[in-house]
Amino acid sequence: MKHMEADVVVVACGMSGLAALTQAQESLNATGGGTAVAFEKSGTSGGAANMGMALLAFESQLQKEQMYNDFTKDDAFRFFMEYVHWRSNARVVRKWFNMSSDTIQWLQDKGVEFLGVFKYFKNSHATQHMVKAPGSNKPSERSASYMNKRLTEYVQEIGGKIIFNTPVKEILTGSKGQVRGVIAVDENGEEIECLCNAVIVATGGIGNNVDMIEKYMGWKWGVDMFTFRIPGIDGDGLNMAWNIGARKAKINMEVTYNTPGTTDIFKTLSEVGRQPNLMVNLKGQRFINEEIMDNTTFTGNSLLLQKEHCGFTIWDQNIVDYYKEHGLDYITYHHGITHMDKWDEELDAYLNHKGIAASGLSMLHEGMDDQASGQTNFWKFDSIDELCQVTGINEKNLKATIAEYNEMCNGNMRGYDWQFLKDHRFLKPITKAPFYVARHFPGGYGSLGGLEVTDNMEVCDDNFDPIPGLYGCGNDTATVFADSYCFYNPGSTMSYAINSGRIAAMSAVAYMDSDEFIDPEE
Amino acid sequence: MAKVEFFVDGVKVEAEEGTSVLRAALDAGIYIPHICSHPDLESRGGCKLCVIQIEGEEGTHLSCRTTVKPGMKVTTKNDRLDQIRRVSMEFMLAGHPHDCTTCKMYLKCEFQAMIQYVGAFAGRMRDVVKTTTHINVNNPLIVREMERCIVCGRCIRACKDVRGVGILQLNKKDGNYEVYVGTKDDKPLVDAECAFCGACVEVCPTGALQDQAGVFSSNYPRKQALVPCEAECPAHIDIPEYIRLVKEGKNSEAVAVIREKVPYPHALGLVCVHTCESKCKRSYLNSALSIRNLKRYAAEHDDKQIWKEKSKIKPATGKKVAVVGAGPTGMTAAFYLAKQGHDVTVYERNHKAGGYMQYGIPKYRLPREVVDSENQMILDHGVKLVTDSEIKNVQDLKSVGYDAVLVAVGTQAGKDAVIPGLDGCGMHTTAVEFLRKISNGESDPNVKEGAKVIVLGGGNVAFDAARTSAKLGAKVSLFCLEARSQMLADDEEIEQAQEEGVEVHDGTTNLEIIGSPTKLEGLRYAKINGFKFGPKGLEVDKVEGSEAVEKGDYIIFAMGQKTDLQDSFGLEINRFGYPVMQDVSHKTTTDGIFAAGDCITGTKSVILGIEGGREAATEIDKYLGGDGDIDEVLYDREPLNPNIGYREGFNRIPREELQVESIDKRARSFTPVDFGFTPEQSGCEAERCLQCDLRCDLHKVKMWTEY
Repeated sequence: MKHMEADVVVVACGMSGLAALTQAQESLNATGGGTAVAFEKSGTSGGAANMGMALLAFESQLQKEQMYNDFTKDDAFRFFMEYVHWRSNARVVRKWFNMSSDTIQWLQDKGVEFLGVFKYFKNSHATQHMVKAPGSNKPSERSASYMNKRLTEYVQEIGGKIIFNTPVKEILTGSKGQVRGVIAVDENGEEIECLCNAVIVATGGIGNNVDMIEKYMGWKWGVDMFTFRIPGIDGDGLNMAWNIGARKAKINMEVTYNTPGTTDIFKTLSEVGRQPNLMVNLKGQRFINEEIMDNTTFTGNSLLLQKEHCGFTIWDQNIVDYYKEHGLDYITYHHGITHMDKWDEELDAYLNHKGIAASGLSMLHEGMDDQASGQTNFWKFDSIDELCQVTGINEKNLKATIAEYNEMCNGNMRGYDWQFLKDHRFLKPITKAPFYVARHFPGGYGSLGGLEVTDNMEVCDDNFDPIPGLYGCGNDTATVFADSYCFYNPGSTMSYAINSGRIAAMSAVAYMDSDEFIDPEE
Repeated sequence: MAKVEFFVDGVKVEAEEGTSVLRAALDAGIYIPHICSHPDLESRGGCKLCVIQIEGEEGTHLSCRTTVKPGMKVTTKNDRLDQIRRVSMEFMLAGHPHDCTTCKMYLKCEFQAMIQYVGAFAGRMRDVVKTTTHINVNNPLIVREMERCIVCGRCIRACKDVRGVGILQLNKKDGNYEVYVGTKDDKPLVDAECAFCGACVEVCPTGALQDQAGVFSSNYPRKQALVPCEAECPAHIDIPEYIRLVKEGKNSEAVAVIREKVPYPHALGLVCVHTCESKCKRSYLNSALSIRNLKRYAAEHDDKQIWKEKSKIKPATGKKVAVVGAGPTGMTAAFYLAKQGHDVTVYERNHKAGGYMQYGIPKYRLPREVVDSENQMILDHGVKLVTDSEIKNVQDLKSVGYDAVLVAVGTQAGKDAVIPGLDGCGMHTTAVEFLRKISNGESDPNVKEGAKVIVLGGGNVAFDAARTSAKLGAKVSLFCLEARSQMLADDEEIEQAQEEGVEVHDGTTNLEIIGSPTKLEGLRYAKINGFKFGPKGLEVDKVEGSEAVEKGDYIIFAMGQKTDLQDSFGLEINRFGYPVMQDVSHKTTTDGIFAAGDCITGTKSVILGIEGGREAATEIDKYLGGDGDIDEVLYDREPLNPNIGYREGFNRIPREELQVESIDKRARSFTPVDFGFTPEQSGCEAERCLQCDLRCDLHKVKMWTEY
């Protein structure tokens, strides 16, 4: 076993861990020195945030410059607490929101550039501060990874350390229950004991841990839930903290929805399937105002209420032709599909499986091999009868639903969705074969919560008392999102990760100099 | 070779003449981004990420293709070079999935780290929709998610230049300009004669090529996991190395490799439970390598015994160790402790050493000459053996001057079954007791010509008892809970037993023993649909109306074993009869007294017993002031030849099976039931090895974060 020492140990170096490490080293440097060390199990820093592009803030300089000055920190706090029905730690929310604009400045001071502030969908607030990709003036997927690179370089310049490919497996405690160090395991399987004054847990939740998803949320991954499974996000930090007496707080999924097998690869097909056209469940009935499909959390929530957790969007050739001529109803910069140019090519590749090995059927699509039934989630049909036979949608009801829906579009009710009040622009009748169907399931980015924290990001025990020296941040602690992630304030996850990481680090360093400090070796 | 001095971004760097600027800079700890270069492959300059400028020269150069020159001044970072790198990455990204949400390589991906480092993102270029990504995706072992491929060509070079297999190539699609990595005529990998060495997967910088999930365990460090047989072997024998040596006819060298970890190669070659084979990568292709039989072959042809040349005994320490029990655990521990320089005495209550190898496993599976001869080799290292000597109390040993004591007494007592009627019937025994008698040359009067014997249990011990009874002339029926596919015994044991006349009633539950103290009537049993262990213990799901009575004269219980340790033995014993141990160690609660093997783990296998003995030896050596290092190199390895070459039909060579003695010759005989591999068979079987360890020699590319 190898031995080392640090003042603050950060468990995992994803977005929240990287922010915590950076803030911890800065705070240590400002109060007389010391070392912050992060142990990261993968080979890079930034974690799931390397896929992201933006973070939320209120009343930032950038927002003022773009004249997005109509949604203040106070507005945001009131709005958010209403949205979550106060089922959220108000102290944490208030502290996070108040700090959010300072954090944008904090990042800019380190050389992170922002493209500007953006909405996520038409009814959302303009809160996303988009990280600028070098040499580009457009929002770009993954651009946050460049911010993570900058932070990674910066934290090492000021004396912080990241030890890669080295997961932490245990948090050590002293005689009074205070944190005294961690045990990590390096690439060669050798254990490292790192003694320290404080530990910040930042392992990102349980998104890749199928057993824990089922245990804590009740969903069977790959059957009725198709969340992203980011390798390595296995609940390490939660288990370690629980093992030393941390309270188990509720864990939720950051719910969205997706079309397994198409979302990543057949992007045009996927994007057309996400347009606000008729959506039905297996009973052949509408259950959603499809206009809200741009709010992926709401869509995921409504899918979770349906039989087998699935819903089907249905559109016809006229709609395809309309999109080819006039463009899509909804365009998102995060998916980046702006036109229909690839429709025919992708359709051909998807439906005819061009070039499949002579050896037999291919797995067809990413993710499909995980499903017992081997089903696909995108189809083209010549008739509604055939559509129902293959998809299992109730034929009698679907025919009635389509007749009624077409009536809303073109008949006496022209332009009025008396059922769910969808905007008239999105009422396009289903009349001309071929008919296209996309099946959607609840998805999600990952889990939220698991540790109970104070507004100083101290991790609490069952008595709601902080465990001395133990802090948490990021998704491991994100119970603030309550039952539904608030997509009206886009950029929340990344903003919460960075701000909670910073708060945890500031608190940990303050703790070391405080009267509450308990010598780890006691 | 001459050294050259030059400058990278103003830093003086020294490198060997002929080195590329890229390699020299990386070796000096200066990072230059690159994705198509790989330390084990010749650079082709495809990705353009490693561009540099050289003072006094026009334009830009590729550092992977530029040789260092004395005094050369190289710039690796400026706006122009960054711009070239970004544009080059953008071209690669145009055909790569936009987000990484479903990629299993996320955060282990070189390409993703490069996106982060270079700061290039999709957005400006038109997306490329590949139409060739579903070609050749249905293969064993190698998962091809070709939508992630950036056509860097590393896999092609690894396959051709490193391995000499050369089945991967760039194919061009008819009708458009799409270029993709494939095989000749898009044949599936098996038909294309892939050798499944995994080099292509190892060098892939993206998630395009991945290992099939489950092939490599995530419970071990990566390099260890890459060689599943060695990782799964409790003693971690260097299996690929000795298999190569057997292939080359170097059997003594092979035995030396095996003996680095275990002192019973021959016995293990006959009876090992071979967990190595259960995870053999070849089993995903056709069937696992016959590792145990190759070990047996090497041990049976160890003419030179070269392992003795390097087997060292350290200078005497003056410390005395007593070992109680001369089974595989005790003898192994004694062997390594003697080699560490301690004065070791083994006490055995039976007449000979070997434990269950001597007094349990029937001779037709494990001839006693093998056990005796391997025991003798241990004694030749200075271990003293005292047989016919039962230790009644371990504390006595401490008081007569032993510095440490190891208890390795195994599980000597058969477990009583809880079956109604058992108490009223005297006509039964346990398999351990029965097998011990037969091994010892005694007989059991109830197992004789024409007797009807009922064996209860479905593991190897049950089959040992059943086959032994059958060979003695009894008519045998065996009852066990498990269904045939779940039975714990080796398949070959079950099959051979059935051929020898043992009737197997799998999936049954025992209801009652009918009989008197002197006479057994039979066993009442029922068929079951299944069973599980619930909170109240065993729960069975009986098949309605399937109850029946099997008539018989004698019952042998083979339903597990336990220790026969008593409190008077001088150790703290728990309520199950096992010594109380300190944490995860081999220390008992009495200072200086250790325990290992079956007597702490419950009945396991010979190989686990040996590994327990090794671990205990390490701990005891440390306790006595040694370093605990019992590892040794008995054969000096040659560097591995990475070039395995193109071999037609290699991936389809079937597994060699042992020739088994004909049923009429073996039915009533205790001579070995099968013959080891012939020289031809051993060569053919060893040839099948995929040499998983070759992959460990490929270098891992360090990401920018590691500079």
